[in-house]
Amino acid sequence: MSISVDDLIGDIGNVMNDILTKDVKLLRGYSETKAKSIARYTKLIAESYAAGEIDEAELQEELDELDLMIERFVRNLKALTNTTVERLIAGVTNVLYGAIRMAATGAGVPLPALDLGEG
Amino acid sequence: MRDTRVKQIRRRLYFSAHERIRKLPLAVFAAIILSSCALQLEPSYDARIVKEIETLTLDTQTFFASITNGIPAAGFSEREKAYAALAGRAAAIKIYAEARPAPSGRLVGFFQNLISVPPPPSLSAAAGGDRSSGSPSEDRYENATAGYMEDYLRNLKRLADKDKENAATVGDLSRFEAAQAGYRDALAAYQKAYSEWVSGRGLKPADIGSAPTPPLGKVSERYVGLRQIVLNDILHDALFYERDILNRKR
Repeated sequence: MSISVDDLIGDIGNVMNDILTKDVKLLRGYSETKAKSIARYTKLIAESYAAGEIDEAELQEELDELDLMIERFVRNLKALTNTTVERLIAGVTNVLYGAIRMAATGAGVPLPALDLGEG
Repeated sequence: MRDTRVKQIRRRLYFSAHERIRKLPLAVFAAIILSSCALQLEPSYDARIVKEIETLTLDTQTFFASITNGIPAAGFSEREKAYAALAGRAAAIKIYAEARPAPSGRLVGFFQNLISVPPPPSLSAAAGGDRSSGSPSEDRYENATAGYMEDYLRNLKRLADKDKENAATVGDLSRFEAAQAGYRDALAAYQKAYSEWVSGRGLKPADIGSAPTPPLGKVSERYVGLRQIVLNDILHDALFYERDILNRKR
């Protein structure tokens, strides 16, 4: 049994589309929560400074925290990208390996099972 | 003749490099399949870390619920225990996160370098702060959850320091109690004087003395709000990160 390149391309596209759709949805929810936090925090910093509840040095510390808030967001975006790449590679590898295994089995040469455990 | 030869060599070099680039994804996939090992760019999921972050989130919310209108000067010794309990839990999570092995290897390095996110511009530096904005976020948060717990501990300490700064000392409390006793005496004297004045027996309000003002301040509701937003944000980031690596194979 030979591998159909068109079917294989279709399967790879489906796997990638499925993974990316889920991750974009996850990211949208996270970004919205983050945007609310940043907006509320910025408003409170301005109000606290105007009311004299924090001095110049404390204002600077609060702005540092605001920077770190954004940095954590960026760090989490990168982590999400990393795990998306992990999933894409694992998903596409499974599709390719599955096609090879099916073709090999059809030809009477079964392949050993692929162990995708953590390496 | 020589030009033709040079062109041939250039052409061969170009196609040789082009071919190598074209085959790169194939080589990467082949390497993964041959290694029979899933590529891992973020550390392994640890259920204990998520459970501890969830408990810390609950404890933090409970603590903030008790100071929602600002922090009074009295009662710092009780709150000090609460700060210590929260800090201890965050420090333990930091240790668990640091003890978790980070992914390594040439393939991991290749993909991690492939996905580089530029650091965001610093708002603090724009406002005249001296914090270096040059370090990329992945350096600061190389071990994400451990870094987030450091942020948590720093913010908790800021709240505890502010609380301590505004807290009543033993002397303050004694003076406050003495003042309260004086106020009660003054009030009693006033009531007595008033009734005597009313009955026309000649005592004046000046004999009563002035009511003392309590000497103690408090950490404002807004300041508590600032720390609460930051601590919640840190815990939310930590949970997002941990759950994301949990869901890596969904």
